[in-house]
Amino acid sequence: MSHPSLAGAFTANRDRAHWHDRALWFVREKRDRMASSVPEWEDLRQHASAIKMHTMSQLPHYLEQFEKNAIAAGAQVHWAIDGDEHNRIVHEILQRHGVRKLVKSKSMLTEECQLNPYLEKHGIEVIDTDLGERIVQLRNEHPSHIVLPAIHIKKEEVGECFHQHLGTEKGASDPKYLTEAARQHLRERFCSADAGITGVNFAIAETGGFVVCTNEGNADLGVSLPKIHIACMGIEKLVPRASDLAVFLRLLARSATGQPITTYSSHFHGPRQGCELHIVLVDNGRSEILKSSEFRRSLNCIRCGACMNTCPVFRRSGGHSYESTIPGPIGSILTPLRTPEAHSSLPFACSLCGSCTDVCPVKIDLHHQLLAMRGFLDRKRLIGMSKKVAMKLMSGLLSQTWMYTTAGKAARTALRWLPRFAVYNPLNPWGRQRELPDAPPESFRDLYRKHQAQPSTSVSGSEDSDRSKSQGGHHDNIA
Amino acid sequence: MMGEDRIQDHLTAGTQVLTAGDMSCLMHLEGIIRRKKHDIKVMHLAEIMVAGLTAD
Amino acid sequence: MTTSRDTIFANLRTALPESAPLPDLPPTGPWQTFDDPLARFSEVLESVGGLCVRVPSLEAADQQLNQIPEWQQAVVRVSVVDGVGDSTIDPDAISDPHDLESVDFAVLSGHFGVAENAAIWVTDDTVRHRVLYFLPQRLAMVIPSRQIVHNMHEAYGRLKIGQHAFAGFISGPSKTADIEQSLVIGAHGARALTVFAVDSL
Repeated sequence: MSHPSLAGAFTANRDRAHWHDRALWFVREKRDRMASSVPEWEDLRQHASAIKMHTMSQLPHYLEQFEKNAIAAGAQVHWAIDGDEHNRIVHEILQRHGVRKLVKSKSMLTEECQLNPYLEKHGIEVIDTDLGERIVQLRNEHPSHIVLPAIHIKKEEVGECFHQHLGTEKGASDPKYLTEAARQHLRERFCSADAGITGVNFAIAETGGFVVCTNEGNADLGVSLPKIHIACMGIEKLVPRASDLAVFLRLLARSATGQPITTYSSHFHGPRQGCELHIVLVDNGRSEILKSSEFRRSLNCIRCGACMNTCPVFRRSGGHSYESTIPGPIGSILTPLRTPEAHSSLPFACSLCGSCTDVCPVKIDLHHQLLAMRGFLDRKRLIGMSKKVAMKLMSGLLSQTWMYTTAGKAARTALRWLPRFAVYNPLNPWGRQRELPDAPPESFRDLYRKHQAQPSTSVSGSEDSDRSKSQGGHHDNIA
Repeated sequence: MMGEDRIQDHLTAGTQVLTAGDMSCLMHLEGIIRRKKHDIKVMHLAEIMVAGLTAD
Repeated sequence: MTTSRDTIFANLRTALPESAPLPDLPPTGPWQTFDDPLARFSEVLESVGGLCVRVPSLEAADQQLNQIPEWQQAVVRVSVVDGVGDSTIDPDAISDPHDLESVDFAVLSGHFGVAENAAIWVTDDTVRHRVLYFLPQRLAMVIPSRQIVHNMHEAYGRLKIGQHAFAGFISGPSKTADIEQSLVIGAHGARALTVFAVDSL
């Protein structure tokens, strides 16, 4: 399925699409209030971008430094080229310790690698512990947003789901009541888990540690009880120094949910006494993206989701319409880079309004990259034929004066005389929801020629009221 | 839906004349306005300026 | 044999971007400061669902704690701060952190606070089991009222990161807004957080 058809299905329910739009705009407004309360906000964005660019330019160095320090702190470090290898590594660790029950906090990387189905296939129970992720897991869905996984689901639907799976009262939909039910349900899982998996928000090269940010405390509970902690991270998550965290922690939660900081920002260095800490570093296409001067800045992403909350297309079409672990503007760059064939419609789910670029805390030039992505897909011959043919025809038309003039004349005549069904039919997708403009009596070209022939043509000649009147009449029509 | 939402904002705000510098954007919005028969006039910025010249 | 690690590094080294300078981030740079950091800390803490109580001494903190109904009603209590509250179990004598599941209220200590976001820096050397920061139903945290830094740069400026297997910032009680964006305090961790900012510390 392509984005337009899935988005079409989502917007078919206007009330729901509006509800979704407003929910995300609410988050966007909270973000704005937070950003404007920090006077040095723009400097922070600049610093964050510079730190990331610097890190990327010396990524092998910082990865080596991180590995050395992480091992010195007592962690075990693993490397995975792709998602499959990542899943095998995690499974091996779990197998070695006879783990049957696993709790996992939010990690977009494990979603990207499709860890859950892999482990479930091997008989391991995986419980997503972030409330939103637990909801979508129980509903057998994927997150529709990287920070707000269940933003597409109404509380009545959560109530129905919890009634079915957690035995809450039928018809109950109070978020407080439902959250309490999930708390009880997940506490039991935290206490019986054999191992915990977390993602990584930032890894620190100079110390060999990493930071995990949550509001619920689920990551911390998940790894503070069982003896095994596995942290899964993409190789782009590094920052050189601990002091860099100040910049990123100031930006992350403010951009993501409009909070001054997440409730918990936990710094892990080595295992608890008598326990094990494993860090799995995953490439899965990242080193290829780094090679591309056009798209490498997309690796700066800290997964705050601000670009999704502000995107007029995302807000109305819903995260699932992207069919991508990372949806929205940043996902429309990252995903087609990895799987261009399956996701060639994504960079067109964009009006190039640039709002994503404005809010991005690490200054990724998102809308420029989205435009560049269209060229990238075209070079791979993946642009849909209808789009291609239309563009080809248009460029042919515009490059030949006689064709343009003839087509214009034909259109003016046709629009005036053709019966309605001949203009508004399935062959004219533009006219499905819109009226075509009234045809003007004559073309700009004719008008200009006439105008040139007149003796008094000075623009400042406001006394020439005849000219103004005749033009005014014409303009009424083309508007 | 984006265009409709945008027009809804203008209806709420009581817009009488909608203007912009971008022709394709105006064509898009006017197309919807006329289909839905809303009472908003759409004019290009140049038209407003010309109207100013006439008024003199 | 070529390992995945070798392959990743070889791949990374084929086309590294041009080097770019790492910005200097002084702890006292052009960053946001506040006239009264403690007042700001309290204000932000309240906005994230917590409560800050300024007290002259540990004794006064103890008195305040004893007035909290949830503390009075707590069956299993733990305090790691001498003079503030008491413990019904000895958390240091427990070897399996799972045995702390029933803790209703814990009094813990924080090193300093951050005015801009009401975060408190905690480390695992003040508790035997770090899960005490997350598992109890309710928390009180004791911090020195004079130790409130303005912002995160200043915070990291005074920290030596990497000395603790676990350390972190905690700002307010656990929360979620995953159901229709309505904020619910008390997701998986503490349902409430009271901070005692003590002058005599």
